[in-house]
Amino acid sequence: MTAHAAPEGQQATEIRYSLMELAEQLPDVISLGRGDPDLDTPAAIIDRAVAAVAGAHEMPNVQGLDVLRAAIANRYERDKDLRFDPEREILVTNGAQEGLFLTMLALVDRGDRVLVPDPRYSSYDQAIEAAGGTTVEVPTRLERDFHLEPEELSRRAHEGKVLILVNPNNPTGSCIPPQGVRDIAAVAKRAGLTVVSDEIYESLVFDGGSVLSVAACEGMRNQTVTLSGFSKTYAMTGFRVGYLIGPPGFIAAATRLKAATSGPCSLLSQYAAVAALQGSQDSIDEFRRVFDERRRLMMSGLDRLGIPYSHPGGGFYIWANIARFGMPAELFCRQLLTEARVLMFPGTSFGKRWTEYVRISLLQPSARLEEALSRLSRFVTALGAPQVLA
Amino acid sequence: MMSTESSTIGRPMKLSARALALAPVSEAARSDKVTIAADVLKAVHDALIGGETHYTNRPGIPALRSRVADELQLLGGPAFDPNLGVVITAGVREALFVTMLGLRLLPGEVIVGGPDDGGEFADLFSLIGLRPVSLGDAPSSSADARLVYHEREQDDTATATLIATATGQGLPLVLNIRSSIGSDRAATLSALASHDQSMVVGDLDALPGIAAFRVGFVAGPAALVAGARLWKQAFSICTAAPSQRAALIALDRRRKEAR
Repeated sequence: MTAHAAPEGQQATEIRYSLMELAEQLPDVISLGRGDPDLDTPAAIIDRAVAAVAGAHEMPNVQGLDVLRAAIANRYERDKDLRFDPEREILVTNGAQEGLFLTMLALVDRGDRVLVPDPRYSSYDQAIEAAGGTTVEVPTRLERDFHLEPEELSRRAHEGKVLILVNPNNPTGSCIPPQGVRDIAAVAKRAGLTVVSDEIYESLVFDGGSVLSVAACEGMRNQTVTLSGFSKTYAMTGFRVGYLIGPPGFIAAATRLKAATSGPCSLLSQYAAVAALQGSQDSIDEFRRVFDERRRLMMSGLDRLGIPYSHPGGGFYIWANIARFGMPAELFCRQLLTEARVLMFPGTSFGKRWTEYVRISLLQPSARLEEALSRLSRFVTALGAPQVLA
Repeated sequence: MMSTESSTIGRPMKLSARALALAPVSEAARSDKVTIAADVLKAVHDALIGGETHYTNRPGIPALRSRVADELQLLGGPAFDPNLGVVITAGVREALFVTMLGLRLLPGEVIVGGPDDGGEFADLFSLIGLRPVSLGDAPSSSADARLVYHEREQDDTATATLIATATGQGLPLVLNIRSSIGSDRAATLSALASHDQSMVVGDLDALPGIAAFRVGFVAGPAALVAGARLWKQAFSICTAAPSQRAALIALDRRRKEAR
């Protein structure tokens, strides 16, 4: 562990939190910042979870409730035709964030290099740095909708031990189609890279697309850690339940690390996750429909304002280019917040070279998004930049 | 177990040295049954239906931080600032982990006062690469020592000596009171007043029905707790919202019963 480390990842994260704290002090802010779904957790999940914990229970074990691990395994078999052993291949964590941290501690020794598509969620950097590793950025670009390109990965694969792949992507919303995932997996397999596949947004895919799990690709089962959770799919961020799926040796190691650093997850939260998996899945379709509607609304608004963005194929973010306003992203976001009361996150909180980008989350009702677009329009007009009308 | 596309399963994953060094998990300790009080459960249900299903503040919901600060003061401890000096965690282990990370301890550094074998938390100290030594074996200078650590279950007569050591060497003191809040065997924290670098970690497991919610805390001077706040966010963002609500309800009830 290198507790002295974490400078870059922590700085990037702090950019976001400092803006959120500023937003809390201002009236009538429309937050298009944090990735916390505004939709309600389905009431049936809450009811069933509370009913399940009534009465006497054993203290939960470190690896997670048997019934939850079985439900996770069932879900992968049902939806992806992937069979995992709930006894040996699944670990329940305090959200996907803890899963990420444990994974880095389990895989990365001091000096190891971890390949990460750039831009990226800065918590990856924090976890890598804490484990003593170094982040190796794999560039992605607007012209390819920020998809991780196998050719780019191939050029750097020899440098790394681990690849973190997030699909759909945070912050860009890029969604790599199944063949693209197979191509990336093939590069990883040839190079002997372990792939940490962050699939937390996999149920929120638009335009008829789908996400292929890296673990399902030829020859990748033993080289893949799947990282996911319940926060985004079921609007359950506050319950803090995630999970890791991986080979038995890895899961045993991650479980040892979890036992040392935090212990079991909350019983009620775990039963909420069980309820989410075992109950009706209709809310997922409804959430997807809502986010898709908002995505289209925001894309249309950005088009009217002449603000370029990459095509968001999944998740609930849009990665937009603000270069034509001639202002660094951090300053742009700070002024947008203080003057127009709209919170967005600057690109630099997802990698230091992204000074011309902002991440816009879609976690407000459509009417509020429309109001945010109006405020954004007035703000950029006041900046003096030429407005482009459709 | 096979996937549909996998005709081969690939090469084995290479684990880190730290992961390989840890001992297998023993679940033998989880024998106690827990029962969550019906009124707590109803209040948690109402809070969830009312919308408390989102991330909370990173360091925890303000009312709970305030209650924890109050409880520590009732135990004779210093008046910690609930805004900047208290962080709610997922149990005492996470509290201790983020505290150690936040204090920027490095592999090889010594923590004075812990059991020689590290005791119950040996795996955590080992993970960070720290060397716990008993007071008698502690270095005479502060060159290698970075922290004084004390667990409440240890001989309480050692507390004054450990605080004197921490004060004398200018080291932070971390007192692990485990489940003292709500316990019949509550720790007395009055000795901490003499050392302004004192921190307290613990959990709320002794509150009836709360153990299964897995709530812990770090408390101390704002400057020392600042690092733990950041690492808590990095590690797990925040503690589960229903767990925090349940703990707050239990502490409120305890306060009412005490009146």
